[in-house]
Amino acid sequence: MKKYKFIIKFLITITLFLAVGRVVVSNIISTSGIELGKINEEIAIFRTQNDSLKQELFSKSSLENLASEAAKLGFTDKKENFVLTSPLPIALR
Amino acid sequence: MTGRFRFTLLAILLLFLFVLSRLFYWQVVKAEELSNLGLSQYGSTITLPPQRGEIKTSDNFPIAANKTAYLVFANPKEIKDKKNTAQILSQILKVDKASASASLGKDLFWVPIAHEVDPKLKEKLEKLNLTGIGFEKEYARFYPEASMAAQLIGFVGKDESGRNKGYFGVEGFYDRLLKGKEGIAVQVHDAFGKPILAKINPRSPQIDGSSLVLSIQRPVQFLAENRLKEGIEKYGATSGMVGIMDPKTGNILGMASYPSFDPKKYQDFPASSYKNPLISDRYEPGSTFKPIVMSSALQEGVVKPQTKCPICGGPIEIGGFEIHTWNNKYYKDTNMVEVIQHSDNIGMVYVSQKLGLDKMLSYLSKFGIGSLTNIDLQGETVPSLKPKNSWYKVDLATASFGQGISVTAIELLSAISAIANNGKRMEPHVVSAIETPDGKTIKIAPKVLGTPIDEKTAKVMTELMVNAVNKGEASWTRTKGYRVAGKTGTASIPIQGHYDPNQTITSFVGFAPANDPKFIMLVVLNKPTTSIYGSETAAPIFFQIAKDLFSFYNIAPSGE
Repeated sequence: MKKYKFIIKFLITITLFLAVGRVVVSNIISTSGIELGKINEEIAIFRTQNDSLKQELFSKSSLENLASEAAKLGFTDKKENFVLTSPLPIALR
Repeated sequence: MTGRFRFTLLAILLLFLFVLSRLFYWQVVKAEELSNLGLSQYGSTITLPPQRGEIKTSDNFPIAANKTAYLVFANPKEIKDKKNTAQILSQILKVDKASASASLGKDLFWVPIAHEVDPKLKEKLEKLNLTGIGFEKEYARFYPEASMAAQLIGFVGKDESGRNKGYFGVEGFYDRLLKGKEGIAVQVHDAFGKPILAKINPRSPQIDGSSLVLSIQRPVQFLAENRLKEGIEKYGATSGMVGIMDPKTGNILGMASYPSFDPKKYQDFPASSYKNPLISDRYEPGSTFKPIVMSSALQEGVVKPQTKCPICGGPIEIGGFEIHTWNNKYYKDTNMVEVIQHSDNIGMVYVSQKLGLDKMLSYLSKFGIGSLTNIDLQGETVPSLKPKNSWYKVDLATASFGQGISVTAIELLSAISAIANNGKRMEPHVVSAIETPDGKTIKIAPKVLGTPIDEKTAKVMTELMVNAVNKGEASWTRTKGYRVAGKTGTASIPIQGHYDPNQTITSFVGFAPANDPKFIMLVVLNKPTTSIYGSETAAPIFFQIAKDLFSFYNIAPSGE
């Protein structure tokens, strides 16, 4: 008889414990929607910033841009290629 | 008693059938509608646009990338002050005020106002808190190199349902790979409308498009475009094109044409500018066709380099037509080396007569003339060869020097590349690898299309072309110190049944270094005005680009 009472008490305790636990967890989760929303907004902002930085990087490193920057700095096309066709003579003395 | 019992049984049965049919109606027929209704009560279904794959040059630089943009839409039923809203929208989004007013005046719940709106403008509009105005994320194409290789890349427009679709060039050819697949996400809200969780429906996951790595080398493309533009201006041509290919693999290294268009503002350009003339425009190639006919005759053994031409002492008459050389100079008993060097039309007529129509057609077919090259670009056309019974004697004669026969530039480039590649003709292609969204890279292997001539004939023909560069009409402009094999071309333009006496299409095709070619290049100018000859217009552009390429590839001079 004692054994049965113990089991019943144990089950009631577990049930109460789980019920309280559920209420606590539900309360915690119920506010996470707002935080999730904020995180999503932040992700969107970072993505947009990343995209615009990527865009700027590609634009700056485009050959079109590099050529015009080089021209502004005074670089011009080389007229002739300079090629070493044979080893330079080495002075013996 | 039995009758009443049976009646009750039947009534119950009918009742069951009625309940069953209603259950079927709600659970099967109306299932999707109810499911959507239920879904709308606790959340909303949103479409997730896939990112279109990028198009990169061989150095992994995205020549066509993506940027985040927004679709601005309106719910006209929610907007009270439509006039003021239309005014604000037209000011910020730079859309026509009348068009914005017309959209807001519609008796609809959803009307698009503007596509591809910049995030900064979206932010500006958002701050105004306009009722009935919403935003949807989308991706727009971004071209870091502006209009570089525009006709090769193509552009992204809209299909009938307003979705992104690639047109022309790589965008058109690889549209299915690039576009990816839209995803569906369920955004669940709490009682205050705040998102609780975002979950992508596993039945239709969002799949981004695959990226493409081109064989195009950015510096090669850049300098080819610049040199071509300079050349067109210098020689007063109406248009021009340059194709550069690796003859060993068929990789297209550069493909430039002018005038071109801006893929970002493609609507502002005429539709005729969208097509790539290298693969779409047909023209009579003139003397650049001679190496194909000559190498066919050498391969067949009907002529040898030292074979003398017995009919080359003056003009000849075939089928009532008199055939001349381009400069009315005639060389009696000239040999085949000199025929190519002087670009002698009469010498080529002799070669074609020795070859005969059957062999000529057979070799042209082996060189790919009259067939698509299967380049991986949308818009390739091919002028087919006339059927054998439609060839007259004069047709065979004129075809030998590239008149009366049409080709596309890519067709000619592919055919001549066989001479540069020891007789093997490779399939030209612009995409060298596909990068899937899961990080895998699929490389596209080079493909041999055929072997029209053997290695020995290819070497002999190469020497004939080197001699033509060093001693021919274009020798004044050659890059000294380098062995370049090439051939000039000056073709008359057919108009209304005869040839235009004043205008020509000039060209130069060649490869270098002749012994171990790194590139083969074709330059074509349409109607140059400073000179009508290829040696004075297309050839200088060819050698200018070749000089740049020698420097770019670090190729040292090895003697002529």
